[in-house]
Amino acid sequence: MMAGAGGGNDFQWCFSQVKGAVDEDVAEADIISTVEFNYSGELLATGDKGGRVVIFQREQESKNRLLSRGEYNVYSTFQSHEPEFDYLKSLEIEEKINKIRWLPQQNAAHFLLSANDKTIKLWKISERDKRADGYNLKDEDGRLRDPFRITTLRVPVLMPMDLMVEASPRRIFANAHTYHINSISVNSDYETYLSADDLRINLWHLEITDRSFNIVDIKPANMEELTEVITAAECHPHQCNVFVYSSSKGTIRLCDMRAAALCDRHSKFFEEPEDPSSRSFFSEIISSISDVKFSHSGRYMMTRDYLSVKVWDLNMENRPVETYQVHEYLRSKLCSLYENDCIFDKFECCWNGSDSAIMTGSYNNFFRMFDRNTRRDITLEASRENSKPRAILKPRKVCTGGKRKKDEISVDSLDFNKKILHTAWHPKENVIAVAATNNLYIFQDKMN
Amino acid sequence: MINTMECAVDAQSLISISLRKIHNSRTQRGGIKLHKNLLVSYVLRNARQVYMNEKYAEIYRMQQYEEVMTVCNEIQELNPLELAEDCEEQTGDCCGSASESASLCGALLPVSHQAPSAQHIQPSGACSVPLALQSEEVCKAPDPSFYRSCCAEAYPVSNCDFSPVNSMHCNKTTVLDLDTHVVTTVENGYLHQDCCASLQQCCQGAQSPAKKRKLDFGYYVSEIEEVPDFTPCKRAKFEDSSYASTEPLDTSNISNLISIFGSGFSGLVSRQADFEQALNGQFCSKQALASLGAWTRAIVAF
Repeated sequence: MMAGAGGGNDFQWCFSQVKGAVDEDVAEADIISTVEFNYSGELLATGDKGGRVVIFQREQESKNRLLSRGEYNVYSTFQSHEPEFDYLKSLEIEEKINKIRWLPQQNAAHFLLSANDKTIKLWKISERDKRADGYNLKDEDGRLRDPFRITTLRVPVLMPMDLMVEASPRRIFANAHTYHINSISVNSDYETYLSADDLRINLWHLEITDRSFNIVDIKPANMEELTEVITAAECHPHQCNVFVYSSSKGTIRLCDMRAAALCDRHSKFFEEPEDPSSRSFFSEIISSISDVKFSHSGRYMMTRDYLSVKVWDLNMENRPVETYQVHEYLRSKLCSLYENDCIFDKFECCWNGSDSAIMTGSYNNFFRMFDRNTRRDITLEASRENSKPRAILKPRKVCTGGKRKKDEISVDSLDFNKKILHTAWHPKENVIAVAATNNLYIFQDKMN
Repeated sequence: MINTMECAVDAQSLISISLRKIHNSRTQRGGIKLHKNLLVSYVLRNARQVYMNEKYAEIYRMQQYEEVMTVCNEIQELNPLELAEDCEEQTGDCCGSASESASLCGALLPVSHQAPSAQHIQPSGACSVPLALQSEEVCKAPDPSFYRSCCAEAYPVSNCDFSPVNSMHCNKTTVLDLDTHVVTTVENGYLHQDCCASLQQCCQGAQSPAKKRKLDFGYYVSEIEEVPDFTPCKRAKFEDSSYASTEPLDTSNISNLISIFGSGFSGLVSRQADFEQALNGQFCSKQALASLGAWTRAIVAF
């Protein structure tokens, strides 16, 4: 379901909240680099270039506020990764969080995996709202008492305290990746997860940090012969033996871990033949896949390349079943986009809970949604100008040539510094989180 | 903001932009990004192919004029009056549609015969200039030993067979191969360097074998398992020696970096290599021309 221009059964997207500084001068460390809802949608995590993780929690829906769903408020903030230096290779390792993935909740605490270029950490986020009072061996200030002074024993009593949310690193999975980690994905067995870098994919057990299994290795014997790298990987949502990985050549390989210990030979190979008439200097760049996501059903998967989003049926390898153009008007601008490095931007994509709609970002703080059933698409903008509470978002349109109509924006006026690379859709409801540089926008459907 | 005027997609400017990106990536925080550099290398390969195709096309045209002119001159020595017209027809054919080519043909004709074919002739001063420029830009193609002097295995550092006009484009570049720790100094003009990137059968011991030069992603990401004795000081040395010498990145220096780059990534340039092998010793033959045409069609300039 997605927004439409008119009435009927269509609903409309409204502004709900925006998080982050209003300041025009954006600190590099505050730029959001990943956004992820947890399995219930109650928690929303963001990671930024400064290595910080901020978790928002949805407040309970109150009966008094019927017109809007619960808002997301800051629940926990912690520094996940710090910059490191690899002395052996004279390389600085960025603290930027590349990916966050939640684990399904199994007890009162919440667990998530966060990854930078080299290291993955398992964080436990737990609440503490009581504290023990009346220790025998230490006094109120925490200082140790002299044991000889103790004449009586007492049982400590649990007293309520202000809610404190603690984040503690429970596992650190390090030293397994020579190249930059681009993906992590929790397996449906909830015991293992995979991590992928440019050339290798490793399978980990959540309890074991000192070793991992290498399940894919595409590094050639001679690096001169390198022609493609792994760009994204994901576990199948239901079949714990199946995973996919995408490449810089625009191909996707589906692998079955039951077939062999090393899954260098794929079970399925998805590739759409290139249209020779559209060949250009930049053909290889724009065909590189930046994200791959299984549908919730597990029947389809979606890939994002620079100009389009494609939906693939896992049973059909030779072409996608659906292709959506995100910003085809950029095809004639590829040279400039190459010069200013925008052509290397890695856009992500996401499904809604029912797999009926998909969403991805673009430039000028625009993001696009495609309804798979009606084949309609819409372009919306995340901006402070449209940030009045419950303000309905107006569809935007890019003028590709000819006379520019009112309310249209011309391609040359687009701000390519305002890019929406990361978006997330609530697993059950029509609530979306859109990361625009250092701001996080939350939109929801209008409730009547 | 993107310029309103889409940048002129010039292969040479793309090459220089790409090389600048690769150069800048070495100082970026977080280490060299393998994916981005791989994509940049694809653009570099595509631009280089287009650039070289254009150059080969020019060479071919030049070659044709020279051959025809040689024949014309020989004919004129025999019978200046009767056969000059035949010559002019032939030059007309070979000149094709390019007007500057016509002027070149005209410039080479003896002065006494320029009048009948006035439409081809321009003042010899103007003609001679483009002719000189073309020969400067282009290596002296017909010389077969020219190709034998370069080879993939051993780059000749001292015995390059250049035409004098090419010497202005000879540059020295020193490359340290981080995998084998071999230092190579290259003094070559750009074009024939690229031609011979993977010709195996040339250079049969004719030259003193320079050390094998290999530029690959191995120097981008040095792995502990591959280079056990790698130390930061070697990387610093590489930075000093190779890229420092190419500052500023003007065209001739860039062309050298292209040639260095072209010697690696054999997986990327395998098709180019096949093309170049076809050219070995048969430059300007019809076979090479047919493949040249195929390549020009295959890569559509953007």
